[in-house]
Amino acid sequence: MNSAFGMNGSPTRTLVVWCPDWPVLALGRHPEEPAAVFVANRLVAATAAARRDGVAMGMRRREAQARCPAMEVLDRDPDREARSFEAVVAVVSSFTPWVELSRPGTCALPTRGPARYFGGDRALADAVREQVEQAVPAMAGLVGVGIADGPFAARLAARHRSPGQLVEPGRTPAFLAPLPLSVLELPELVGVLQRLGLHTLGAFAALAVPDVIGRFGRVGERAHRLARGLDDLPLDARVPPSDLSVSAELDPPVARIDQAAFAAKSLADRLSVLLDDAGWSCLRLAVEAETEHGEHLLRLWRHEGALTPGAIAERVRWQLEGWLTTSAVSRPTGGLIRLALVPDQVIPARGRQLGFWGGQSEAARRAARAAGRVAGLLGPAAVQVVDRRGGRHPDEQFSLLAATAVDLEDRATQPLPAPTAPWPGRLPVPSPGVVWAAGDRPAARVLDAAGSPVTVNGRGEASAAPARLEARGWSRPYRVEAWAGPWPVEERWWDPAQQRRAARLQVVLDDVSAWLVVLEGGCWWLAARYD
Amino acid sequence: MVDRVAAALSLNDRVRPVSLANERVLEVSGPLASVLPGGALQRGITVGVGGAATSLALALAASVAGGDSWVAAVGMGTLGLAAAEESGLAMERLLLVDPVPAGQWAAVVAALVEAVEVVLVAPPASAVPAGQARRVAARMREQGAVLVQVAWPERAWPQRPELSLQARPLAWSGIGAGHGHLRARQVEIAVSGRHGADRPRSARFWLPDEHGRLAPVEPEAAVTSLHPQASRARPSSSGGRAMACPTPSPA
Repeated sequence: MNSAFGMNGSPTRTLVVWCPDWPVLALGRHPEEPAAVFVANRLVAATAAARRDGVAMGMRRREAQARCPAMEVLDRDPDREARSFEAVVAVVSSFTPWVELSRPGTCALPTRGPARYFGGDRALADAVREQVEQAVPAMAGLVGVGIADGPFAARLAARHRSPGQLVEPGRTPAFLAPLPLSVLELPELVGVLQRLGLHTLGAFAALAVPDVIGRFGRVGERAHRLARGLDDLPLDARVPPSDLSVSAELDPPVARIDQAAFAAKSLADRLSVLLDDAGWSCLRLAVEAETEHGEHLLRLWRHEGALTPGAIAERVRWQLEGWLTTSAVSRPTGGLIRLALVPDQVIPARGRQLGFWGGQSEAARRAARAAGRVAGLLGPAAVQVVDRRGGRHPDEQFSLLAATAVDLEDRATQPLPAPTAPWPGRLPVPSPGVVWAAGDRPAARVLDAAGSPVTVNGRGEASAAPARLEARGWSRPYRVEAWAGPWPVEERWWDPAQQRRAARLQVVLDDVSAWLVVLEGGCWWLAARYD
Repeated sequence: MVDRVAAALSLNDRVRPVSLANERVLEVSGPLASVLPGGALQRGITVGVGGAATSLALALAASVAGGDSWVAAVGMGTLGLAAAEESGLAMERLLLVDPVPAGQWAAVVAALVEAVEVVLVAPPASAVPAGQARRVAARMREQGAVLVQVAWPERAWPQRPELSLQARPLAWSGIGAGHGHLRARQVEIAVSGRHGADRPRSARFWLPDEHGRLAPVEPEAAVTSLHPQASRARPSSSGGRAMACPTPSPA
């Protein structure tokens, strides 16, 4: 199992395929269309076209939109990222089955066997690039392929220059030395090092090992190994005994993704019990599936932290979804008959802090199981959890994510991030309890005392005091007892396609019900009820 | 020896399952405890919430679901999430299921009560056959979850709720004739039902108060008239708000 990526301490010569901007390209956007993906109001990926306009990672939505008004704003869809990436992985795994994935967008393979077959590293890199670009035409000219000693250096080599780079064997430390420390992606450690006057990997690598361990502990030691161009596996990683694996025979064969995912979920739960008993955490996991026609699919998944049962189930589902729903040649011809999870590298579990008797984590685990069961009944996107987003209107301040696509155990322990910025023009607190989505709003009529419709002029003033409100589905018009507004809203006035002009009005009717009515496109609509 | 027997007996006392039906309750924190029978919510029952239904259901869920318990909202696609957060509900432990196809309601709720302490439902009329509802009720009693029927009795789950909470809106404050904004609402919450709530009781609350939460009303701030806005509205020149808006103070 472990022969492919060696565990003897010396770095394995590795090829990394890197698809830049994957979170946005996976959603079917072309690199030349301006588009960006945001998570919790921060930019996580953008197309080349958007970046040319000055949009950068970590930017807030408003700031990014101000720089690139034509940009399309998208929510992250981890499921789809993984599913579309399967097309790339399928191509790469025709070179060697030992393809290792850490996150969608990047995969690694050991070059030893394939490089000899294709006649050298350069020939292998060219062949891989050509095949990937053929499989995903949108990525033509963008795919980065890098080869170096060890996956870390290979990943940097793939991203370093646009077509990627080959680092000669033994030259990896020299390749890493001039790179900035930020490539370690450990902001805290890097901050301290920079204050100590170290700015490149080379300068950090020159420190003596005992000093690094004494000052920075485990994290520092691992970063130091990376900086020196050594293997990034923790020193206590090991190959688990072969009985530490779980498998299930599926009879009758399973062809539907939700059934397969259900089986995977219970396997992942069983595996986590086995690992807990043995006191190990899984660093890398092999997922094997077999069809009734003898086709075999193997994927290696790596996780930066240790894999939790939720995270394992998530990865199994991604992989099966990719395999069973692709139209690529790799699609299996029959149903699945066997599914196995084989931990491939483990480290002694240092443990996450759990509540007494399981506590927090147990409740979250049960919630995840229930969400899985409901998703099995109604489809994968039926159960949703809430994530924060920014916005002025009550239905824009949160976005919904499929509960089966997130690790509920991780989520339950951390509250949603606080809003990152005030949204001027937001409705004052308290917020309405019932909010209709823009397409479902009931039409309404706001009338003045004389019975003619109330309008709002360009300066945001009402033509007359509203006296009566009637709406579709109401048995009678209601008298307006009190009102506030109208408050004009002008959004994205710079973009004719997305611009929005509206006026909002709060009214209290004679039955003490309170409503938010919106004038948009010449009509009044009920937008929300203060129920 | 005697010590050991005594220790064993006391241990026996401690590990005895506490499963008497009326002892299995969900703690209720905050002002709502004062109107609930016993100051708590019995596990395994259904609660009908009407009047200002959404606010009251959110306030109830928020005051029950402390610690690590989860809340699910089923068939409430129009739930205002900002209001849910302001009510004090832990958004990171909220599951939303919507839409629910007709015929799947009972199965969905039955799956959720295994993991979730409070399930809010707003089913369309006759979406749930009575037989299925009885089976769900049995599962709930077993698991100790509470089913909250939002907008009862208009959108009724076939089982009649054991406990009914009706929030009658009395008046909004902070808003006048063209100025101010909706700031707080006084409601009268009436509780009735079986299981110790057979004698109806009621009290006045701010729901929502000016932070979006539930808060008790001090006696001098209580309104008397049902429709005070129009009669009390003063011209805006008299300054700011038309109605005096007493600041609700937290419990």
